[in-house]
Amino acid sequence: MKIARTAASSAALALIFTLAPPAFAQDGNGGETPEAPQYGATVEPGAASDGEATVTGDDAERPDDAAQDDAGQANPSPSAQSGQNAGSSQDAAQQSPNLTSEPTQGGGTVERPAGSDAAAGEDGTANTTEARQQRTPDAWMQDPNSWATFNGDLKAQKYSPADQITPENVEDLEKVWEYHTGDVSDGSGDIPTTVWSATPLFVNDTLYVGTPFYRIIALEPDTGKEKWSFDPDARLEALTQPAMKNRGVAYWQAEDPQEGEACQKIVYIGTMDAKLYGVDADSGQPCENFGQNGMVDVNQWNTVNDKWPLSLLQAPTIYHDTIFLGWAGKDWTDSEAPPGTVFALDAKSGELKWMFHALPEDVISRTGTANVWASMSLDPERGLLYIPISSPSPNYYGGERKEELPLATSVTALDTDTGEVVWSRQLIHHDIWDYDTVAPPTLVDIQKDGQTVPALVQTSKQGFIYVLNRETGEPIYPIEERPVPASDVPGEEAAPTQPFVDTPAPVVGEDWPGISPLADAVSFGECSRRAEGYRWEGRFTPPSLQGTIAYPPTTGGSQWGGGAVDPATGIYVVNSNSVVQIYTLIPRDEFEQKSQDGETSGYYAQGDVAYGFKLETFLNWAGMPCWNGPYGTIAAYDLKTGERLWNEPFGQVQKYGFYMPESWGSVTIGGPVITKSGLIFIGASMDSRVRALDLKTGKVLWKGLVDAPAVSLPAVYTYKGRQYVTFVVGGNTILLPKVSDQVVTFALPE
Amino acid sequence: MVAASGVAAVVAFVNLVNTGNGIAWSFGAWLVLGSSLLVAVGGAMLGLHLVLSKGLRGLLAVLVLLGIVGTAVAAYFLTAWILLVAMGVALVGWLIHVAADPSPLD
Repeated sequence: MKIARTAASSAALALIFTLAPPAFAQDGNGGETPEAPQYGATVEPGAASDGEATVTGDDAERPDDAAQDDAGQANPSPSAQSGQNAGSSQDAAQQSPNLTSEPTQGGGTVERPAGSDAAAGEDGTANTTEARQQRTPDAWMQDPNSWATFNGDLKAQKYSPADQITPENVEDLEKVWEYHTGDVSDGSGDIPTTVWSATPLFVNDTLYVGTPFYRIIALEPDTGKEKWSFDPDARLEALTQPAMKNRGVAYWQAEDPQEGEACQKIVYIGTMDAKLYGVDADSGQPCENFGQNGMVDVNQWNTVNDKWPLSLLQAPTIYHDTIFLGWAGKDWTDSEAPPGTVFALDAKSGELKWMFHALPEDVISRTGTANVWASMSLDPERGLLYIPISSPSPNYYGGERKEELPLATSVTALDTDTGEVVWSRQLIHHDIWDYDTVAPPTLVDIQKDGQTVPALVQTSKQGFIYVLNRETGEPIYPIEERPVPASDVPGEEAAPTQPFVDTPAPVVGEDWPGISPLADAVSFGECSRRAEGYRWEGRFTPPSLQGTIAYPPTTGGSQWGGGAVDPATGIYVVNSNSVVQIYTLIPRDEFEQKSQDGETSGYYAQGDVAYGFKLETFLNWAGMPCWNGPYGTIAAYDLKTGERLWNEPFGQVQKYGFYMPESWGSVTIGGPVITKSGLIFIGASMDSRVRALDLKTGKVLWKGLVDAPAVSLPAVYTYKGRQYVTFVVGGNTILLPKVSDQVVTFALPE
Repeated sequence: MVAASGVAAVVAFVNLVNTGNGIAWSFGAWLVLGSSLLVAVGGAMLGLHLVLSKGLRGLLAVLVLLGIVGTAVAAYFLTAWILLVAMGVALVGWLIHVAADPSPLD
């Protein structure tokens, strides 16, 4: 049976990995996408949204009396609003106040509206720990019953103090309600396939969900009954991504909300075409004072290398009265691209407070991105915003960007008031592997050597777990610069050293997993023969002309879900992937020939640099993975010692309905959540199951079947004394050809 | 054997159409429905002695055995436990049939 199971497993995995390489990269910033129209200054900002914003639901039907009074006239009809948006956004761009620019550490710059009082003190002391005043968190965000942000809280701990569901009773968990948004596409029609990875928010006694069609839906947390929905009639085109993507909504409320006054509480959602919408959290009506009738066109600030819109797929981070916003784009098609910019906007008006650029101005004609497309975290007491910055474009060849770009592929701390860099730590020098920093750093105080250390834990595609002092950026566990292989590609100069971390143990091994005997036998030695022809000299072997074994590759390692921590014990949990890909650079003339021959899948132009690129997963002729499993694991670490406590294969591969052995694990997308009672809740796996694991052992205690892979973070909350666990079940065709629009909530029987 | 495989076919049909079980409308669900039906038909042909030729009866008996084992393996990977049990019963029936009437395998 074991042999049969192994054979069946490999066969079933074949098609999965055949589909995986381009799609995986896409979940970050890479991958093949349909050609998008040129999107730049020649296109009117705001003109893209030619539909009508609409609100439905009980509350939505009521006229907004307060707004009517304030405005002195009734709110324009949705269609009128939309019509105004097109022109007014452009007007807003033209009427933007002059911006002042000043350099900050690492070659970055900060732009602010002229006259802004957000600038640092003249003596530069604003960037020192001593100079920054102790801050206080938003009171509404401190409710232990809520799940108020994408990561549960600003510190990205993904931790709930709820303890009603325990390891002892979790097997009694039952589905209490499910809701279907209707916003789903399998790509067979006019709308691209949907990839829905939203975390539901529970706050204001309401569950808020964003959809891949960029609607906001407000639900009753205990019944799933719809309260209202907001539809911006967004442009449903794959402008920068191959799929309609959304990772949820964000919430803000005034420090002292005034009863009966609209937009004292606001829910925000971004769109693929760079629109940020703000609607009243109680009614779903657009907040007329937020931008232009409830919409800010972020693309008005896309003025450098504006090749495509700054897609707002990740829910923004909100602190006090400021929205912090990153964006996603395409870093595989162009050499020059919009430079990585983080925006700080006023939560009430949408006005720009500051913009932080991660790349120096003198290189932006040759590179770009280095953006923040993943979630950010924030220390509410210190007023520091921690941003995971991705790699510069083009992804896999750096011959045209040999300058040091210290902020690229880094974790960087910004002052929330000024946008200035407080500290930054580069995790990859001269990134030519697409090792975007993709997960929000987790902030936690750990007890070490008798002291309380303010720590930051950063997972990575490259598989290292960096534990830093979040006040200074200095490592708590050693980071060592070690020599790495040189590039043998003419024109490329790989960095001579890269930072290595031994403690905590990397999520993937030092060496690649080796040839799978079964895949090799089935292919009559194809796997081993090909492996001998590829270049592999350990981690950070540069892309080459003959093909380089990349392990971990752009898929990670760890992905955007990141890890979760129990702040009381310092136990940190993270899921990861073990995938082998082949990186091959192709001289430009040869690449052009292949393009003309119609070879497009897995080929990336990289703009006009000397080399195109081919990305392929290491499969045999039958599509079976040539490397040994497991393909996905979940591990727990003790942050006090750096010791790995356990490491278990996680999830199951499913193909054609057949489930593969648990020992093979599953490639995962999404992340875990920890509860006080010692449970880990996680979807993420490709077998369309959500699970509860024992935090002490990693053993699965409960499984629930859902409609598709739950490629998101669950939300854990307590309402009227009952603990709920809600999963958004969107699916991702990377994992399984199943997509869904299901929101499903579990609880113990009453 | 016939009864067990008939029950298996019913179970396989329910698994095929019952959305929400994780395998509905999948290739695997179709496969075990088809194989269960074939085992039932083959078993009936053996039990009713519809195949007169000794050689054909032997071949059919071997094919039915392969069908039972194959369906059971597929059921295992589909986590279709009732189907797996049904195939176990069918296997017992097959053994009894062969023990009672060893001629097919002579």
